[in-house]
Amino acid sequence: MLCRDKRKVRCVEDVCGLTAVCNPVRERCEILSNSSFDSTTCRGVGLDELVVFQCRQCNAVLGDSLQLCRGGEQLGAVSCIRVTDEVVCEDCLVIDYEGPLNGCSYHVLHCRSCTMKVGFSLFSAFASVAHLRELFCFLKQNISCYILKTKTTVPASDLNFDISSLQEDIDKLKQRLVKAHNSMELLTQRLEELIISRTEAA
Amino acid sequence: MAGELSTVGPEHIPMVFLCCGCGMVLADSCGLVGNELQDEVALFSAVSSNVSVGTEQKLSKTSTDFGCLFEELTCRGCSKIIGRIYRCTPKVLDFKRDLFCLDIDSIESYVLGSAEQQIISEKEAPISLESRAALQQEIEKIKTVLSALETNLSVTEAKLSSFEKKS
Repeated sequence: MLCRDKRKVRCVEDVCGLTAVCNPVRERCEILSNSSFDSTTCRGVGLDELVVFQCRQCNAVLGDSLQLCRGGEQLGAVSCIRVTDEVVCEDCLVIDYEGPLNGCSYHVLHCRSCTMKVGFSLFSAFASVAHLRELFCFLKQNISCYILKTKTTVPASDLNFDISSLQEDIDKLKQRLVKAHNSMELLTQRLEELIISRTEAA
Repeated sequence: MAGELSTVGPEHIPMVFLCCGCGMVLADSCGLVGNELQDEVALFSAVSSNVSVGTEQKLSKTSTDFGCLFEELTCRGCSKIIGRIYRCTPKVLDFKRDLFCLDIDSIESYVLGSAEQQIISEKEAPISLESRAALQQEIEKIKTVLSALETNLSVTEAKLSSFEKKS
């Protein structure tokens, strides 16, 4: 009666007044899959792209993928427009004389809870990384990611945050619009010619 | 009690639920089924891999869930007990059976997209994943309208051609 799966159970009275039923068959961890949300999007973003960024040391929530933007990958970073208040942006500027940020000046970002350095925010930069200025760049090795689709926490370095450009889509759309416009022009011209020839015939 | 069960609509807010003790993500809104106000628990059909289900089943003797058989849920990060999963329930508690019940007092929540700290001005801000999705939706809408326009154009073109031939 007590066990729906007809598994053999053994009752033991414990100190808390609860009856413990040992079940050696049961697995230690059970993750139920939920397929009902598989095709859902949140704010237009696919479920597989929803990720929460956390401090790798203390798990403080630093941001999420809704605010993610392109370009951080080349520096081994995750770039975000907005972050939570758990991220502290230091006032002083740091200039690197080696590494990928050689010559660039930036503000160090650290976690409010554990004070670990979690990234940087570029103040001045070369053309190749200039688009990252005033954004929050989290160092991939210092953050962990919770992926909503798989319900797992993984190091950010295991993930690729390259967002594909919409430029190609927009270019194709532009070409189609120009073509449609030209067809319309041609059609109008033919119609006008037809009207003129009709008027002359009449 | 079942009447107090509030469910999440199809357009749900993306949200994660974190352990109060260590901040590990325990569950998210995709697995959220609802919450039960009387016992102050949130019910989930699925939880994250950071939740560990106890190996032993316990029989509850408290007044609210007397006679229920449950397993304890613990956080893998800090080993704190964060809730229960009921395996055997009386009729009135059937809505809880085989769902992950996380104690509201043991969890914190974070709504995706709620971060507000920003340095770059709105005007200069590049496209984010969220605004990209909105833009992509608009592009799809334009594509649909354009396709209809192209069809209309070719129909009109054909009609005009046949009219020209006749005259």
